[in-house]
Amino acid sequence: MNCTFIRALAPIAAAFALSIALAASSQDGPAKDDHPTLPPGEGRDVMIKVCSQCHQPENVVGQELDEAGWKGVVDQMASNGADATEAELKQIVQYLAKAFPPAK
Amino acid sequence: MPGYVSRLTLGLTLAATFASAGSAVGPGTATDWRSTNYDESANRYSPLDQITPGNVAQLQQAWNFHLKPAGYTGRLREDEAIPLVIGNTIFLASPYGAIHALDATSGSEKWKFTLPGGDLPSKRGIAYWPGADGVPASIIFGGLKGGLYSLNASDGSLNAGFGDKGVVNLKTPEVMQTGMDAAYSLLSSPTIYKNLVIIGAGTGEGPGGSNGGAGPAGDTRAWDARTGKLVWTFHTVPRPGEFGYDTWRENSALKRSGVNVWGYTSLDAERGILYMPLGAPNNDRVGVDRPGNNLFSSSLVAVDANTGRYLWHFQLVHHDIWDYDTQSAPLLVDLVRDGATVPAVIIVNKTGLMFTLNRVTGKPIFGIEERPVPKSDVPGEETSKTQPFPVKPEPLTQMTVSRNNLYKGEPQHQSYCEHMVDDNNMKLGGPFMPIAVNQYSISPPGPAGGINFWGASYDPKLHLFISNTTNMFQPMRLILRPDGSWVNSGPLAGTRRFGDPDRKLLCGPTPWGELIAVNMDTGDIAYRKTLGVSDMLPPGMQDTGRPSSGGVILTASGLTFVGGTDDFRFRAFATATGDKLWEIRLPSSVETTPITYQGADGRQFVTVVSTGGGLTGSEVTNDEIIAFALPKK
Repeated sequence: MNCTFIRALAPIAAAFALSIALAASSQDGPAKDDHPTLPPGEGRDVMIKVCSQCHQPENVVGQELDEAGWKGVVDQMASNGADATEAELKQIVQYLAKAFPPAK
Repeated sequence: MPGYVSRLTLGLTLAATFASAGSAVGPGTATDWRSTNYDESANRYSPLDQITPGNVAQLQQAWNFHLKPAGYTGRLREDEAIPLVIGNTIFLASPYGAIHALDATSGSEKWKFTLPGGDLPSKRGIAYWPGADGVPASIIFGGLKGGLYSLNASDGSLNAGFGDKGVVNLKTPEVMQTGMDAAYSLLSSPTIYKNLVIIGAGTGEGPGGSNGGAGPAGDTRAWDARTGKLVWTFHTVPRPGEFGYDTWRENSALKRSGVNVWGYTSLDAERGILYMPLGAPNNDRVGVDRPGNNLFSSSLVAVDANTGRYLWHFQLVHHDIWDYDTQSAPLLVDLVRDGATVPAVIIVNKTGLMFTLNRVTGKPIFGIEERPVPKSDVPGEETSKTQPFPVKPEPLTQMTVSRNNLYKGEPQHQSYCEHMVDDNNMKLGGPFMPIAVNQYSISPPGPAGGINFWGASYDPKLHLFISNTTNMFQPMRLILRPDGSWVNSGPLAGTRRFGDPDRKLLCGPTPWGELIAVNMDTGDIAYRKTLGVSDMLPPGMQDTGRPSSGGVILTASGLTFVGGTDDFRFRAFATATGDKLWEIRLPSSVETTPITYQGADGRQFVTVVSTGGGLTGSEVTNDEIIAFALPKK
């Protein structure tokens, strides 16, 4: 699947998802996101799973760092005993660097 | 005197007698290290005198023990725990998820308890209860997942009659006021009083932004050491109708988190008074949603240890927006004033200010003045017009930074610091300058400086207060978010210190760390000694002092032992003069407080946990506990 295809399909997919959500909301209430301040992105679920072991994952909101900066934070958490594989730690760093990059 | 409001939670009956020593482990003696800060007074002053200023330079490694379990392949973990010694057993929490009991003389393992479900023990200490009513002497400690564990000290088995098969679930609805899913843990050692296990709370700092202040309550609670039943609760944020509730205007106390003991309480066992140091409220950098002074945040509170009944308080920081937690164990000392003995309590925190109070009445001993401080520019932020300052002693750490007194020395680093300030248009200032809007600002010492949870020690013979201190500042900047809330944000804010992170060099004026003595007869500074070296600087420029994480201990022979600094050194000083007598370079920094005790062979041991890590950001390079002693004769 190429990127053009994804871009072309995106509005349709979004509309489809919305219709599903609306249909669900009429019966079960809106889909609940417990972490609305954490932007979507690859690694978000891993980040929530690992970081929630010790603190609210929203603690990262407001931090704005480059990848090296986020690696420093995540390394510190690994030293504190964060239960994650090396691959998961890397995923978390990449998610945070994209979701919370340095401000201008 | 403020009106009394009961904070007594319905509890079971209190045992009024001290526990009997009906255990193979025994009650502990003065030559042991019976609790995190040696004893309930938190003086960290041992009567041992075998190691002296004359022979301390002969200290050798006697034994070591690796905490990392066999087969573990993950990253090394930091340990800030302070071991306990009872008789010939040393008890220690491991960051690899275990409690170890070792032979205190040889370091060989007696037993090991692995926490279930991947849980980790409190990273800053455990407690020993001598046992009573058929329940054996116990090791009691908290866990990362909100459990309070009780182990038989003799064999490491769970005490089945304590809570649910040896574990009390601390995540009760009374404290989980915003939902049971929030994180809640216990970070430090409980305080034992009679048959009570008194604990603080790990509520987390809370996220920034809207609703950043709500979360689990930081209440202090006491549990029956035999059964694990709740005995009393002290609401650290007052509930409606309780004293202090009106210091949170607009009902902003409701569901407020933070204001917790995540450090150490101390205890006047004779008078039955518990002294609790309390943290900043959440959100700890922005207070627009909590107008008022916000009791009992960043305060010292004295309560009846039997019931949790409020006695008195002293707030060190009004309406805290700097994260100036008060967390070190209050030092209980007896001072002589005008020929009379005065029961006193000394409290220090991240401000670097030291307050001395009568510990029965809460009245100042060396004077306290409310002095004007700057106002906040944040719309709606009502900072206090004044903050308390002690008349004596002078501030223990730096409280002002300016463009003219940045680091001076190595040209490369000096230039780095000047550029950091100039290129980012940093606002530099003095005590309690509020965080600026859309601009990095620094008001020393800041949330990473002063004296944090490890606290100080007191020599009752020399009448000296002794502590290592940290001059490590932290830039902060408030940004308005789209939802209308404020957050401390930016690549130089948050976890970043004021310095060069790659070279681990700070930008404030040297010394970056000191060993300080205060004469408690006069309240004056007895000496200041630069503590710690910067190996990364050229020879002749290395004597900068270094930031610390971990405190000092004292012995009756006149010695001060301290690790703490992030330079991999462990050192001994003459307490009376601050002269360095011994130093050893270890495989890591010692980011915790050492202990000393007498072994079964009659030798005095000085023992440190050596992992690195801690609030200094020192690299984690080891997993050992190391014991030192004089050579065998």
